[in-house]
Amino acid sequence: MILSVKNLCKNFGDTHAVKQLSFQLSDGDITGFVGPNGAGKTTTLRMMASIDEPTSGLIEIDGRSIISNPEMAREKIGFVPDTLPTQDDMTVFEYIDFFARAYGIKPVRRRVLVNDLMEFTNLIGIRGKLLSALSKGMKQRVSIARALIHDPSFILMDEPAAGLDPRARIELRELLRVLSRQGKGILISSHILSELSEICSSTLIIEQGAMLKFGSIEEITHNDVTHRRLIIRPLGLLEDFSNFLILLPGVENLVVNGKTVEFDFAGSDDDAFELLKEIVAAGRKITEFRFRQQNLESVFMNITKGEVQ
Amino acid sequence: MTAINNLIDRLDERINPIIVKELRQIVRGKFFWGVLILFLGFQCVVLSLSLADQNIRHGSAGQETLMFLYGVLFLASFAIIPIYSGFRFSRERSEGSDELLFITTITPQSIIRGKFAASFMIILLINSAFAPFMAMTFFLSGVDLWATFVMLLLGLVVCAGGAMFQICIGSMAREGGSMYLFRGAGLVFQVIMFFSLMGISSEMIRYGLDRTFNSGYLYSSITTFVVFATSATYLLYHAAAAVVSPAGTNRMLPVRVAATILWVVTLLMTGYWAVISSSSEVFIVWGFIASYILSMACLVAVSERDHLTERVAREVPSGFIRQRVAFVFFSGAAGGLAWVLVMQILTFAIVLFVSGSKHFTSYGSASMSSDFFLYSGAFYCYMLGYSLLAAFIRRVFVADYMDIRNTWVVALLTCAVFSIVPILAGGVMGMDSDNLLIANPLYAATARRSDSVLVFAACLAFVSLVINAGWIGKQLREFHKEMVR
Repeated sequence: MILSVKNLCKNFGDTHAVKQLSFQLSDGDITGFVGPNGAGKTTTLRMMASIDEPTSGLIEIDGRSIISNPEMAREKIGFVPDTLPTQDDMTVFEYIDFFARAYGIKPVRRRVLVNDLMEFTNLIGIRGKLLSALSKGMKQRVSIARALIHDPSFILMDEPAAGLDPRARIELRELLRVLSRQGKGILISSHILSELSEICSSTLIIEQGAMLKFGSIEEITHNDVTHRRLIIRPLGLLEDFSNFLILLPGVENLVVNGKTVEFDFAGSDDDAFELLKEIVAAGRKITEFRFRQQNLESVFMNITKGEVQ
Repeated sequence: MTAINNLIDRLDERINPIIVKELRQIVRGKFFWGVLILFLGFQCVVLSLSLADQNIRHGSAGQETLMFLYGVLFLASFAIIPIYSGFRFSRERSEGSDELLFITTITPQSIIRGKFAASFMIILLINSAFAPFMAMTFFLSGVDLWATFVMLLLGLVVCAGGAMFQICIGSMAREGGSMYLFRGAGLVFQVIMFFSLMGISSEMIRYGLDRTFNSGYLYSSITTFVVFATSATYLLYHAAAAVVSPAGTNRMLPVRVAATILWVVTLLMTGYWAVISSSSEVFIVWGFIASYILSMACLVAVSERDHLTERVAREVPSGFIRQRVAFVFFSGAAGGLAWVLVMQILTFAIVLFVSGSKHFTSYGSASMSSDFFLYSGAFYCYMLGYSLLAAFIRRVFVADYMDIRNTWVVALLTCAVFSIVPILAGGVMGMDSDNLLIANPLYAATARRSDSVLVFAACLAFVSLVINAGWIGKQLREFHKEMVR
């Protein structure tokens, strides 16, 4: 099953909150949804959950539009918003049971399902507690249990880890892994990039409503050919080598760092090979020639400007 | 046991989840128990004091006690519980927790039905808790059992209307200034209605049913009242459901259908009263009320969406007539204005036909009908003019800051500016003329120079229509494109 977004746009007056966004989500995938505050993440998730309607573009599940058939979205998509449950005068059981009723689940199945779900999300011990008495982490689990009640194929999560303590974050991560193994496609927006790169198979980076990057974590961190940093360890005088290197094409922002030189290299892998060939052909001796390992955080910082509309 | 379990499961399956949720929350709250215990205690004290009174055998002791007890009951079931229900709904809306319901299979109509049913169940519960105290007044003198029974039933009908009204207010009162404005207006209206209805109730207890409802027309009066209250409640129900429906849906369709039904029902009731009184004047009164309310609907129409969404487009039916009817009834600003126009034309045509009919005696209805055409026509032109002017101002000048749903605010402000500025300018320039008030729609109702008022209002409407012709035309073309597709 594939959830695809094609040329999605959302305007609020003259403000273009989302611009021509296109990506796909497959079942079993965990996709990170990253962007600075005000980038359009929540707007996109709300449109995908069929709460808001896009200005233009398509959101489809297996080729069927959920904009003109929001009923299908309700069946196939579970949504965890960035706000926690606010019905403080309901117990955990009552809250989940209410949403099971709202999804039209029959009484016999509902009783079993609500219990199973509370067990799965580790809420069984607090089923009689009022929502007002729960911690943020517990409320987040209640929110996830609610989103899972109708067994959706895709789960959209808006900042689920925000404000959680380390233990709750680890538990959430484990829960997402289990859901992914069950074949559910998950789109998760978060600012905690180190955690995203641990659990996500792919990442979507947006800024000012437009997509900057989409692909697997590996692709994004290794194929950012415009912002790679090369490290070379030469034999002999560093200063002489630096003077030679600075004249070669694609070399920028060169710095000497201990016994190595580091610089930004704007070129493909082939260009890097040509650079290496040129160094060797010039009779220079080197013992190390490698790209600095990038992570999601550095890619994010490199490609976003932090501007809002 | 299996059969009973199956039955319970079947009932459980059919019950609206909102009712279950609301009742669970209400009975857990301290507010409900506080109100119930306080008012029960009050009833207990009042009844005990009445029974202990040495002079209880005097003629109206029972009436006075009953009036007091009913006042307390009515305060709880017409004012406190409905206002509490509306407040709770408004709070839920401002917290945004109702949005999660729209991604379940539950419909906005079910949400409103559930809220209303839960509120009405609490009202019934309070009524049943108070019933034994009120029954005791029968043992005192002067209580008309039949009048009391009818009063309680009519009370329940108006309490249902009050609950739906407050839920409707709660659905609108979502955020910011509008929340306080709607909540405040709803509260004031409920309080005014409470005292008015209490006045009627005390008359029923004191003088009996016949005198309250004009002897000879008791059942007709009661039926008219109940039918009108039920129809108004039905309209409020659809209005509330429309407000909470997601923006892209065809949410105005049920509202316009319900408003048309209310229009037809009140027309039929008017026809009935005109026949039994052999007078056409009742039609003119109906015409005034219907036309003024329809004119106000222009403010709602211009605050609707001005483009066709996918969800509305997929509901456009096939067939020449059905497609034209769909344009008038479906969500959309231009369609809304067209609906108001059609209903106004029908209202004017009916009043014109009836006032010229020989079946009714006319008395003073000739001047009444001419007043109707003048004042109602002028008021419609004013409302249409200001609404369209507001749509233009919002679209051209403040589209970035103001959502289309708030166009009615711009219309009211425009109307206020047009009404006040000429007076201020006149004051500065030392002018004092009735003409300075001509832009004020409320002045139109009292104007002596009513022809000039009509001319001014018609010019305002015409100019507003001309400057909005492109906007209306675009909506028509968009709908036509969908009809052709």
